[in-house]
Amino acid sequence: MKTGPLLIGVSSRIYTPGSVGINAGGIWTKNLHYLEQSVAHWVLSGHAMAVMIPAVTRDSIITRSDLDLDDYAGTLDGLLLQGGNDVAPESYGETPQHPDWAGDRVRDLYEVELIDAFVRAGKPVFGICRGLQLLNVMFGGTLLQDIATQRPASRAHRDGSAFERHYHAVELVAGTRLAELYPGVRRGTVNSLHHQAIKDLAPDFVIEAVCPEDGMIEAVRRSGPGYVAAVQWHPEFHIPGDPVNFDDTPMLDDFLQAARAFRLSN
Amino acid sequence: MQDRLKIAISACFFHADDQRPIFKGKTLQYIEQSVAHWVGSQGALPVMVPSPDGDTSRGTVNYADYAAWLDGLVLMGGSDMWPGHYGEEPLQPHWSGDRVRDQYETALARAFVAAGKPVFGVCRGLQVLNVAFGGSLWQDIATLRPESKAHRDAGLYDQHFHPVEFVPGTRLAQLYPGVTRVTTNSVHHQGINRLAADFEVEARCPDDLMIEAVRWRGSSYVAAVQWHPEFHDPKDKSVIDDAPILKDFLDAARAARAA
Repeated sequence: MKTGPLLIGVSSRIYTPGSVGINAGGIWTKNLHYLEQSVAHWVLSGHAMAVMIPAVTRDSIITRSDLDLDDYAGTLDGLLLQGGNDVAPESYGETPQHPDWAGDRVRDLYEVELIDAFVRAGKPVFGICRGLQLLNVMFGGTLLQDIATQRPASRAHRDGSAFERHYHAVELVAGTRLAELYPGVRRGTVNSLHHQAIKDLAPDFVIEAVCPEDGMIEAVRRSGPGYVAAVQWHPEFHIPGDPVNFDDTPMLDDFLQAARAFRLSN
Repeated sequence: MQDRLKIAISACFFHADDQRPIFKGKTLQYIEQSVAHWVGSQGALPVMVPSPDGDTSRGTVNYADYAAWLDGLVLMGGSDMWPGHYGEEPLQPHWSGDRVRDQYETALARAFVAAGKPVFGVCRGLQVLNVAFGGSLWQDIATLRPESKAHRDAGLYDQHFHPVEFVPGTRLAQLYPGVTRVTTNSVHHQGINRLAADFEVEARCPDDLMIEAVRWRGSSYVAAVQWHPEFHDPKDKSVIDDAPILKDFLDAARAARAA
């Protein structure tokens, strides 16, 4: 299918009964896979179809299915990683310094397998917030388990009560692809709701944006062939009247154009 | 690999709630893992189709686009329907159902039917299809049809079972040659009251004749069951083996793709 809307897979957030996260009472006794509606709507705004890819890992406890994530990579045009829980420190060779920072190892394994499948298929991957962190880890980087504790000189990157209504400035790094997408723009305001961040950058990654107040990494891209890019903020949150002045459309269009180009060339 | 059937699963909604400690004000859409794994258990690729509508909607992609790309649709279980969709007022506030999900799933089902692609309903999915095609529901079986057996046991949840009898000569009965009676789980407090005009009953609960499976007589494949095939343990031989039902649906999806 050369024409028609692009098909973008969105990775699942995973709810396990009894886990930290949603506690919605008795009916939530099953494993659930979910997304935040605004993520799907962001993809749809680029005239692409969003679908959520159910979580299946090769060592999944439930082996009833013979699903293989490679088949999703073969069928879909690109992958979008949603935000969500912390990356498990074990995924970058550390142990949690606090029980609250133990992260979501199940989701790490599922998403790493999914990312690997899309990258091997030559299809673009875009990460949001946790997605940026996981991509950095997967390609050899590490994270700060908690910015406030480990980099106390940093500005606040999360305000628990404000959630997505917490903002700070970002500065685009001149000469990067991201900067090219915003001609004439050097600084913008974005939302910020993360307590972890990149510590050591993955070897092949290029920094595309930083927080000018503390140098925290806000956007990255993998150099070389293929398309792997990510931002630390949430472009999908649109609140009327918020001070975010960083238009997310050029970023989405760039990702979708890469997906379109791959489809047309194959 | 490209040949695999791609099957849409409709989403359940966790509507925005400012009282919730997390995801405050956010609408979440979800599927149960068991449904995805059941749909994928014969080689199809399941994906959840998010609703394009809602307060953060800003796209142009519509249900027809999804129906054009995907090979079939499974409507999964979940909340009640809003009685207004079959011309009634909710008899109790907690039977008001999920009007937003009704509209989304009805639109999705109509798009797949219009594209000639098969639709299969699980539990609530059966109820949605019956209403979408003109039927009505019992808002609460225990209250409105008190002579009925219990079709839900909150404590047992998916471990509550009862017998189901196939109607001879139906497609469903043909999928189980030599079998007239099976056992299924039962996790619903609503059921079909008035059957949609072009629907055929394929199975009933023999104890109270409650409708347990239906099929549309129309131009494409629309079928549904009142039980949850995805909750059945395939190793449990005391319950129905749902594999033939899934295979029949996937065969129809394959045939629609070839057409």
